[in-house]
Amino acid sequence: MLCEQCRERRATVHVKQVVNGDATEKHLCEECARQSGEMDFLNLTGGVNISSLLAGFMNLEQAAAPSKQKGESCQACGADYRRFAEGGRLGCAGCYQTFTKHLGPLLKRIHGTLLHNGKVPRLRAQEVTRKRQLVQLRQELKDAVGQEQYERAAELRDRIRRLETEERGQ
Amino acid sequence: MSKWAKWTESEGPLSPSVVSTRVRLARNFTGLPFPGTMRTEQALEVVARIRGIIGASGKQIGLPGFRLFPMAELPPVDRLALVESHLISPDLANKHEGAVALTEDQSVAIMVNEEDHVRIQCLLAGFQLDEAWRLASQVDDWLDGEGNFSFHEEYGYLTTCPTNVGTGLRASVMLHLPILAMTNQIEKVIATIGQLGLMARGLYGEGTQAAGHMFQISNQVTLGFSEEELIRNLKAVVEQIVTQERLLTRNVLAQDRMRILDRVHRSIGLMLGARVLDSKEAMSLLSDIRLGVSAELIKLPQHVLTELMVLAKPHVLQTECGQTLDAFGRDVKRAEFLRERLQNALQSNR
Repeated sequence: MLCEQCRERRATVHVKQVVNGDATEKHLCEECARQSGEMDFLNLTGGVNISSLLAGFMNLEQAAAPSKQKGESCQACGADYRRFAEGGRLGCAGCYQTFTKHLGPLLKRIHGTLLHNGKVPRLRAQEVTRKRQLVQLRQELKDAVGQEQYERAAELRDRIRRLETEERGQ
Repeated sequence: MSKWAKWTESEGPLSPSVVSTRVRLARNFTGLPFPGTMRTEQALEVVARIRGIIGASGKQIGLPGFRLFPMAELPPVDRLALVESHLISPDLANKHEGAVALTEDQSVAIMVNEEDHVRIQCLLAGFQLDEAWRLASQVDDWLDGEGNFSFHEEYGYLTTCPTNVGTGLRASVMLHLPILAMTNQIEKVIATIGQLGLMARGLYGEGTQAAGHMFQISNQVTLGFSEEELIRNLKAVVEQIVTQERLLTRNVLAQDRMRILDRVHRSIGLMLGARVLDSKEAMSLLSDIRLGVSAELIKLPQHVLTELMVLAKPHVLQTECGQTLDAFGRDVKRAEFLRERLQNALQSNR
């Protein structure tokens, strides 16, 4: 089959498009396909575009909380929230801090949780382990108080204090 | 550039059903914006940092022979061949300031300035999730050095896209599932996998239409679980699927041995006889021959089939023969390469 466009080269790219139930087909050679943008050059895998999917989620977030998002931008890299909402990509590590209140619900939706539970860089292992312990102990303290287990609560409180002192010491 | 896809030269556990295992870690350096917002000189600085680390201490971690290839210095055909051999992503091939550092055996690829500053990828033949994770983590420790990477105490490793945050880990397994696909059961498998925090897709095309009956299964969630948990989950599911494929193969053979035997040998005949072979047909023939090996109907070194599958790709093919070819020229060359190599493999196995 020859390319529909140039009628010179063999058609090796076959594009089938279905719009509202109407199917159209195109048969092009690689070169014409590339020129017409039918074949995204180098995009060999295809598939779902994650960033546009994410952007959809972000817009949901926005609709839920439409307050003052326009002016918000990251001090570190200058990326603003709108850019993130459109592209689903953050500008720098600082953006995680800047947009933390929007990111929370999004991360929860993607991963079902907000807390990293995996590998920690070697140099930060001690500090992060302590933080994780503190989070857990505070929860246990709350539970103990709720269940009126005061002896256990006192014990937990002491352990929390020790860890907090260690934390301040560093 | 020497030969691509060296990983295909060996075979690993559970092959030929499991073709390959990949573990990828996404990391970003502190003090620099993510690649999407970086200026050119900052991107070059990232490349320079990686060049510095691998140059200074590559031998120390027992991974000698790291070589850095900046994308801008590679001809497009080589970049695409790297994509087709699964060593880099299509995204990286497009990045002018991108680079890839490869070990000699190509089991480790460090992609630089893709969506994140660093993507550590370990690619091994067969089913080797634990090994790939160990290797990736080792490279991660080495590149992190004295705390080079962005890490948040709650969110974990920070990444450009929030879908990768936390562990930054994407573990994936490439599976050959011809019988599940032919018996139209694969759609069910794919749907079920989605409910287990995993993602499955046809590697070339969708569902039962997936060319060559190749499927990729990977973890979807990256935050909240440890790397070991994520890997254990994937491992358990893959083992289940492979067991299903094998059981089903046994049943189909019990009922229809002659038909399957015919299909396998017919495909060998076609590959040995064809003079013009497009990549889709090549994939489908190779899939039938691979089925012959996994059903123990024929004997062939399994890694040869993986090698041929990669060699059948248009740009790998052109780097292999060192010529630029149009579509028809490629089909002719593909037929020639595959015929010769299959012949050799069949003879040496006799």
